[in-house]
Amino acid sequence: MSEQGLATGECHVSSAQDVANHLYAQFDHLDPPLGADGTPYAYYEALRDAAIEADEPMGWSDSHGGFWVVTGYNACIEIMRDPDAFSNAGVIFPRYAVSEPLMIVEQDEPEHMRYRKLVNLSFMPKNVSGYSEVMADATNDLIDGFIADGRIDLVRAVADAVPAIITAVLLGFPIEDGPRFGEWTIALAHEFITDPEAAKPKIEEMYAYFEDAITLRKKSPSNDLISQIIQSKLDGRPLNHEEILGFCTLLLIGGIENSAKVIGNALWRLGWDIELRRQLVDDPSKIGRAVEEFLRLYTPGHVGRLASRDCTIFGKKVKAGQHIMLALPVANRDPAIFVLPDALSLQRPKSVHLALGSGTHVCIGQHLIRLEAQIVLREFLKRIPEYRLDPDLPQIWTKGQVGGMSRVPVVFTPGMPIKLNREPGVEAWLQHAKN
Amino acid sequence: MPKIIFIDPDNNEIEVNAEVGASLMEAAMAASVPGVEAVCGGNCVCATCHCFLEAQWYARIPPPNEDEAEMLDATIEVRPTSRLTCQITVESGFEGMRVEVSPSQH
Repeated sequence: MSEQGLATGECHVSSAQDVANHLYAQFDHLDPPLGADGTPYAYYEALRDAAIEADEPMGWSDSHGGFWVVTGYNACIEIMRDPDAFSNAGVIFPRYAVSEPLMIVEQDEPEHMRYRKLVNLSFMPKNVSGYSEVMADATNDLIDGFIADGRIDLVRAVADAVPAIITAVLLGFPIEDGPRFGEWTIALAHEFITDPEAAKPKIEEMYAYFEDAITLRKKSPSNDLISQIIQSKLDGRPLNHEEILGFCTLLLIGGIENSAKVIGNALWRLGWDIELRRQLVDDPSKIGRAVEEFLRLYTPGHVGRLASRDCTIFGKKVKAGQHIMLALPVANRDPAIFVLPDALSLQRPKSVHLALGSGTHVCIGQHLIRLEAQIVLREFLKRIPEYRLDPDLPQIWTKGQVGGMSRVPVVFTPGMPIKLNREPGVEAWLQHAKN
Repeated sequence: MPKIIFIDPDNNEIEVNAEVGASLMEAAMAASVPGVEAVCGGNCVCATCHCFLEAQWYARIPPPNEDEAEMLDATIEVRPTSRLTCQITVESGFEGMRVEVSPSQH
């Protein structure tokens, strides 16, 4: 109601439809408004509630030249399960700064499955569980580096660091190069939109790094994933250079950003949700359930699709060539699927959330992300069971198609390191975090 | 429609009237059997529909193909009668089959 309306006693009542259409029209997954808690969730909840009130699980946004936005859980599943009508060529919108379609992620069938099968088994539970010890050791070594200080930014020192270290180990890169991976990922996924001139040299540096790594492994193969990819055969032939480069880019981007955001969001929540933190400290067997709730409640990624043909879905006429953005952070709080959807409950019956996708394109690293998050939280809470968000420093949420906490400064009672000597790779991360 | 009994990770028995020609995973999903996630939708790439059959039923149906066998080999808590239910087609003779859902799909 406007001030003038108040004065004259007029009342401008908008229909539920108008409210939903208005919110859909303003939707921009790259720039959601942040609320008092520093996250976009108050906005996501308002959008969801308006969409439900209007019975519109899908609407049109005017941002980025116009695209469809989907907020309903069942609507998201229906679109993800219909790859013939909705192509993965539109999974990232606007596209990242890569020239070729992103390997696996932006491919449709049959190409997607042909390439995916070359690496899929490496990401299955038994194989990723082989990295459990490396994950626990990396977490503890990082904690050793700051536990005596009594304060640290948990995103840079832990949430960004562990996934980058594990990605380095998987790909056979030196761990001390980890901080550069983070810069490249940011350049590819964010900076190329906000500051393309600054992003360009970083992306070139990344490709040059991959070129060197590939050359080295062609001469002397190792047991890392890049060597495995170089030696693999696609329909009986070895992969060409562009294909190998494509895998390197995919594994670097895929391995770091989602995991870092899931862990960072969890450590932020545990920084203020004392009751939850103490439940997990008292009974670490609940950490697995908690990770599922962190994934659901603070889903880092939206995923896009590109309509391959004209079709009508949920009453909307979608034209071939139009982009569709699945707002998974909203869909994962759909009350039709999740009772009290905004509450974090360790007793919640197992319903399958969409944080890691659904259908043939379900995240190839899903088991790795879960394990990383579980191990980091388990080890961290063992060492630092009591901590709180630093009252003197801001938490920062980074917006983007993959969004989440990128600074979580905390304070705690200083403790003692277990080991005094650290790997150079871990030391590089600590320097990076403390700068 | 043969009646199939799923046993969920909490030991609850769920009777399902399964459609012949559908996959065993689809029968479980249609009845919302807890523990069967099937997030890839039946494409044999995620192993989140992992279940255990009874020995006599395991022996009666066609064995896993190479893709499924590889996936099972990379899954945790595998037993001799482990199967990915998305790879099993329901037949009319499945009446009374008992299928135990794996306690962990991750």
